[in-house]
Amino acid sequence: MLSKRNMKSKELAEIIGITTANMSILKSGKAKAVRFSTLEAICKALDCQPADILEYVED
Amino acid sequence: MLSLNNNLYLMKTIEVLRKLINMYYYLLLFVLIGIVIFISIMIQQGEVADLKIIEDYDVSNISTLKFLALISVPTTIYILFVRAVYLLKETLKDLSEGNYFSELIIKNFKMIGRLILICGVSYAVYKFLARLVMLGDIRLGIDFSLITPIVVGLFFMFLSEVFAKARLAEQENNLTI
Repeated sequence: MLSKRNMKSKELAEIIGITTANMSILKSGKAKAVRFSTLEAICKALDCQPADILEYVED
Repeated sequence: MLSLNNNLYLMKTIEVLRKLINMYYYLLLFVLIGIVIFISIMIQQGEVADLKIIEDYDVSNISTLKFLALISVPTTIYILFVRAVYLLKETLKDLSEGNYFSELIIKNFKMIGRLILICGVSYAVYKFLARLVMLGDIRLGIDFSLITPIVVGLFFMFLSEVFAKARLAEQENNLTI
């Protein structure tokens, strides 16, 4: 989604107001939970739906 | 502002507790050294009879080996108790530095609980057996001096579990973006 929007992780982190460290946690899938406010900010910044950025992967 | 005041109050409480436990620990060490010196002098001077280890039992009649066995048990229990207080001292040091949910604190609380429990139960068993063997006297009843260490020991073990859960919650909170 980031490459489609021609956006870097650092830029997205700045727009949604999280640190690059937290952005890295989100991208690596190490995050235990995502706040609705963060999800909303990401969707707003990337102009997409939650389903576009969330994917279920079986362990 | 309210949170800042609460934090200051918490820091003040932990600092007072830390200083008290520090004093208590060094006092316990001082007493231990004192007891060892006192018993050594009493043995050298042959005034073992004056030592009231088990109520009015005259310990001057028993062999040195038996006497040493008789005093080694409470001494070991005392050393274990000093160890528990030492662990509490170290834990409070960590807590006063703001590391509330470290692995060390969880481990120490569990060990403190176990040590206090062991000290309380073994001292009660020792008292019962020593009285039975030396005085030929059996006493059964509710001994409040036994209940206190059991309660305190179990409380510390429970506290360890609470801190382990809190550590997990903190980790999850840190990984919530």
